[in-house]
Amino acid sequence: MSDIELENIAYEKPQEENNDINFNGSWENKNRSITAAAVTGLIGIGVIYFNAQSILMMVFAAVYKAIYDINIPSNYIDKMKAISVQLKTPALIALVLSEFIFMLLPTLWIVKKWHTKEVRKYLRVQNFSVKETSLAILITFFLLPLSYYLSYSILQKFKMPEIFKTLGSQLFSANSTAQFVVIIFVVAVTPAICEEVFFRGYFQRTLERALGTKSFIITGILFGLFHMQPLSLISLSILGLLFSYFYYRSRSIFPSSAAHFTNNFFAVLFLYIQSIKINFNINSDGSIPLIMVAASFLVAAWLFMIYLKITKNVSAARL
Amino acid sequence: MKCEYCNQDIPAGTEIVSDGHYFCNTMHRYLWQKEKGQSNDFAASNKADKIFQNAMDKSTAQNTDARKIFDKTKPMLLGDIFSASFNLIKETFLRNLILALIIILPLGVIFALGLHTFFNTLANSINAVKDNPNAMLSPSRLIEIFSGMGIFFFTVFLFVLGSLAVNIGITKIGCSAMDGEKAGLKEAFKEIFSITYLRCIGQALLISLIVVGIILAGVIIFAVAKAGDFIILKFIGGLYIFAAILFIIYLIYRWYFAFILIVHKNYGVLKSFSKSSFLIEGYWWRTFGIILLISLVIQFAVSLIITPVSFIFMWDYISQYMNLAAAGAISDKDPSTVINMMKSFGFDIGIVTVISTLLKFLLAPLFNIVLYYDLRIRKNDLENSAPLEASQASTEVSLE
Repeated sequence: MSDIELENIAYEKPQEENNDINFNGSWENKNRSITAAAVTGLIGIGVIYFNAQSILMMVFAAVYKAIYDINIPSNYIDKMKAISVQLKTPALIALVLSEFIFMLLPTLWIVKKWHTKEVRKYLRVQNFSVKETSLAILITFFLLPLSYYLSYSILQKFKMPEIFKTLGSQLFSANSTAQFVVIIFVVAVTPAICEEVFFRGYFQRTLERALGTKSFIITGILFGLFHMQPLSLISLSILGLLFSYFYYRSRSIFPSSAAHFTNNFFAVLFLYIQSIKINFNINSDGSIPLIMVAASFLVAAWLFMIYLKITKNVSAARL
Repeated sequence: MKCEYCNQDIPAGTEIVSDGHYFCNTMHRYLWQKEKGQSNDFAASNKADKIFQNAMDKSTAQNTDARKIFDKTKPMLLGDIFSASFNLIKETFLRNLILALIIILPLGVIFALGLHTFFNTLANSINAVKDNPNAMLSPSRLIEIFSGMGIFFFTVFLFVLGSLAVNIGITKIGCSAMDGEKAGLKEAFKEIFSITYLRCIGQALLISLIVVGIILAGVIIFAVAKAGDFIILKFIGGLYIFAAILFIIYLIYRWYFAFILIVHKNYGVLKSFSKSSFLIEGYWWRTFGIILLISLVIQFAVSLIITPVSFIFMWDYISQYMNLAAAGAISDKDPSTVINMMKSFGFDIGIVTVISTLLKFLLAPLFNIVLYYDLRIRKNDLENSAPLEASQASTEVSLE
């Protein structure tokens, strides 16, 4: 295949994307602001998702407590421990259900109702590339030490008591292989589908139509804010920016989805390794040596350059 | 005219002309020429088309959001309300932010200091009473309590007055934008320092008096029933208070736009009530539902920002609380440990409250203005609004 033909294929993909989608949804037909659609969708689904998740958790926990006769101690710390250990099952079920029912479904509904019937095309569930997806996975993997280092440093700076550091992770730590598989589905697979479709597929894609390049920066920061975890805000926002850039650059949801899965998968894996008593911390205080962070960051940067190179033709033509 | 390649209509002014043939873009010109065997110069065409496409994208992006805030000719659906509100927020954001910062920032700091004094007084008093129950009644303690409370309520009062001023200014700027005019900070401050401010205070006082009056009647019934031990009267009193609460909710929403009417139309207090009541008539449930929904949306949007902000500002308190909790030192029976920590809590919570109020001011009044204009369209109260057909005047709320 000649260079011109290759370039032609690369060029016609965005043409297909830009021109072939039939924007016949109600929001489009009524000539409303596209930015307003993105923001309304984001906040609207956010309201539904967080409220529904809280209600589901309360209901499931109440039912679970009634069935299994669980007593929650009144002491604050014991209470929190009991909730994250004994009520792990209803909490995980509520998490999965709320992501699929109250995040994914409303997103798909909004795209179909407001924008276009061509939902897959709109969300960019297309243009799968093994190279781009593999690189996204590797870049995310090699950025994990930096992400871990940032979170750890912030926790240290804020002098968070040890008990509170472990409380949050108890919900997602597994005690057996079967439990590990279930938690991987809840923590890695579900967000890689639901959150990516919601943040990248809908919000960023819609915002991109009005704001262009700025969309991935806004989406990345909002991704961090949406998790409502102030101590992880910086690392989550960096990850959000990375995922959003993958989506923007590749014009496909697959690299960002794979990257999201990778990040969450390894977070759960580390917790699992810790729970089966394998000490993977290199420093005695639990931190990662700065040299390791720097080395892995350099590898990630090198891989990122390769990613930019292989997506250059595709992306330049698509922009 | 139609594109030679795709046979679609070409929007006026966007056509590409080549040897007397018309195309929607240079890509179509290239493909057409390629089909006809006239050109293989893809790179040149590609480059030209990219320039064209970028220009088109830029123009579309600008047009998408720079179009008029709302359509005066037809009533708005829920989506239109969000879209128009968003356009209005964008259009007026900078002016509103500056106005709010000028007024709220100094008053906010004073309010935070007042809150700091309040929590300090509270903590000192509880500690004093814990050691000696009679200490509460000592003159020095009483002076400290009353002066602390006095300072706090005075700063709250100042903050409320400032908030009212911001609300008036933002409403003025917002309504002008909806009318297609551009009111700047000068006009906003002129409106704040006018009779409008006193009218708005009068309106707020009148509503408060009505609410207190309605509730007071119930309290009197209860007091009489209790004094005379009349069971039926107690029952009637209970029923009355329940009905009174519903009635107050009804009245508040019936007069919901009285404030905007005073600012926008320079109405007097009573006329603003009757006009607001006229606008809401037939649309009470719709307005109530939409306002409830908008409140949820605004609350959530603000919480996205406020969660990390409050964490940063209140970290000292949170950290102390966590350390105490980790050490098992927090007991429900002895809250004085926590109250002691409140000494450092007041200023921080004051600042967080101010930031939260500021963010809400940049959103809430503008949603209300859009709702107000929607009702005016529905009531044929807006110049240029076409008379509504029966189907258009529906009170139904659609997610479309």
